[in-house]
Amino acid sequence: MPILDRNIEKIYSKFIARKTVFIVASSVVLLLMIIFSAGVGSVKLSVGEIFHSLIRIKSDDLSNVIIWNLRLPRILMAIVAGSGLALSGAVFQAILKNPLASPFTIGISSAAGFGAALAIIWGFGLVGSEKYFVITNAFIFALTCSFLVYGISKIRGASPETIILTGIALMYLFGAATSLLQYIGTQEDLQAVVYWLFGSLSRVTWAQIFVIIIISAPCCIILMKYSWDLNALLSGDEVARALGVNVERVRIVSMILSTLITASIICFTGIIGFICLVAPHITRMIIGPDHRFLLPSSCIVGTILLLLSDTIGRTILSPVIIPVGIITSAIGVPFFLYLLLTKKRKYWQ
Amino acid sequence: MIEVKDLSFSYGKNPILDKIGFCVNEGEALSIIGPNGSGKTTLLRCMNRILNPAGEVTVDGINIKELNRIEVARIFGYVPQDGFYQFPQTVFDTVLLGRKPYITWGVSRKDIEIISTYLDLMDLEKFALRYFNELSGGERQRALIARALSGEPKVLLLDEPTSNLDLKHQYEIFKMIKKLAKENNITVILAIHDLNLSARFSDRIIMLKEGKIFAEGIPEAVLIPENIRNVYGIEVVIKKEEFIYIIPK
Repeated sequence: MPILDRNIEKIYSKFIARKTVFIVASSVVLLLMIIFSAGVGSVKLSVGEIFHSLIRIKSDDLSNVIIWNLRLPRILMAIVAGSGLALSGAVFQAILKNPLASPFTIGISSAAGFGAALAIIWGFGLVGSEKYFVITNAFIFALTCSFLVYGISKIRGASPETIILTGIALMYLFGAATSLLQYIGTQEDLQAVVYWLFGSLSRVTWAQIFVIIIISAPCCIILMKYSWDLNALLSGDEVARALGVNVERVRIVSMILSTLITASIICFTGIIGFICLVAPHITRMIIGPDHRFLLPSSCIVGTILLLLSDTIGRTILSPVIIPVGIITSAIGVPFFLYLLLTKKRKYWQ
Repeated sequence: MIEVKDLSFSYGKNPILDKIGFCVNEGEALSIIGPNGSGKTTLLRCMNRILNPAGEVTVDGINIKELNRIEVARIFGYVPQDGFYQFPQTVFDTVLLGRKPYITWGVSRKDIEIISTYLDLMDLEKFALRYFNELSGGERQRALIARALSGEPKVLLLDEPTSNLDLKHQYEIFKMIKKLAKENNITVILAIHDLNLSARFSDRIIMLKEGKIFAEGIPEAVLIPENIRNVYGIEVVIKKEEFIYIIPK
């Protein structure tokens, strides 16, 4: 018996070690990519120049301006947006027990898009000054949508099915409303709306990054604390309840927090959707569904994917910048399909 | 001792359970039998508050309504009919989840020792890192029982635990559950279809009909042709040897 015990312990520590190794290795990849991304562009910077600029904040060198005003905010935005979107996606897949779920499943992208279109085409805004109408509208409509889904599905016990179906219905509703606005808008308005819908990191400012961090960081911490509850939810609602999980509360709080994170990101960047779906899947395929490891690892993978996409997007056809939303799909989909097809085990049922 | 008093439950306006009351002693194995839709699964789920029934369930004199969810989860181990995972999960992780009522974040040495004990007991050691969904029905069932046991419950609730098992595993699982009940003083309450198995392995039987207790007592007293005719609408002969056997006419 003691021999068996030690055996299982060995198996388990190996099991955990593999996940830790993945987190460390992917962090190293991310770090290298940050340095690479800071270096490439229409002006190439060496590693030395990058570090120099990072240290001498107040200097007026060209390299300093490029790093502090252009590349660093973009990189940081890729980090906060990539992490936030990937984490929200992983949480949604768990609470809705559906591999296709993401915050966008419940329609918040369409709602945010509608809010933005409303500001761009009609100049209509709910709060703030006109300059920020697109951002505040997108944020408020995205949150309104998630509260609508919550309110409607609550009547029927907030099961995954009602949440998904309510979300899809709202997605079509906001989609149709956006189409109507686009139909009556001018050519320039239309272009602005479409550009916003693509999602891009080109409009980044330092202030935006701080706003996202202030909103997302507490949400992320609470969601991380739910890791075991999310693990339990994967076994089904009854079993989770039997294990002492307040299923409705976990599902609803997680839903609201993840949409809050997502809304705070996409109101600045536009719709960068694919990360939410694909980053958690890639991570889960590699390290498994234990949320204690899945959530932080998804953040790293999401960041790598977004930063890689944005770096490619701004360099490949330079000086033309391809919106990051397009590139994410272009590199994410083939990689995702590759993993899906080469994975020996049946990935989902 | 577990005492159930005036337990009623309804889905919407459909009453499923109607003023159920019974007692179970420590270490006793109680079977709940009855035709489909008679409320067996619902009764199990009302015991550990997966559902919220009217009425009272007390364990050693404590009304479980006064306990929080985690405290309730530490008393009851629950084995569902079958498990299924949307995302692939190892057997180890599946069983580890049974420790959830005790775990806040990290997994302790003690947790691993307990998991190891029950993996071994259920003969699942070699499957520890296999994916749960890839196991056979019987292996899955054993993993689910190991999960419930790893929470070291006072009361084990099993919902048709042998529905996916072959004859040999049915008897083995039952023997083991009975042994655990006696040795570790675990109370076992199980919903079951197979009357012969319930006759053989339970100390007492509760027979449900349309959400009410129709008969209650030792197997020989409950499983008589008259009761079975009344509840199941079928004629049977009872053969008595070491255990009793129910054979449809």
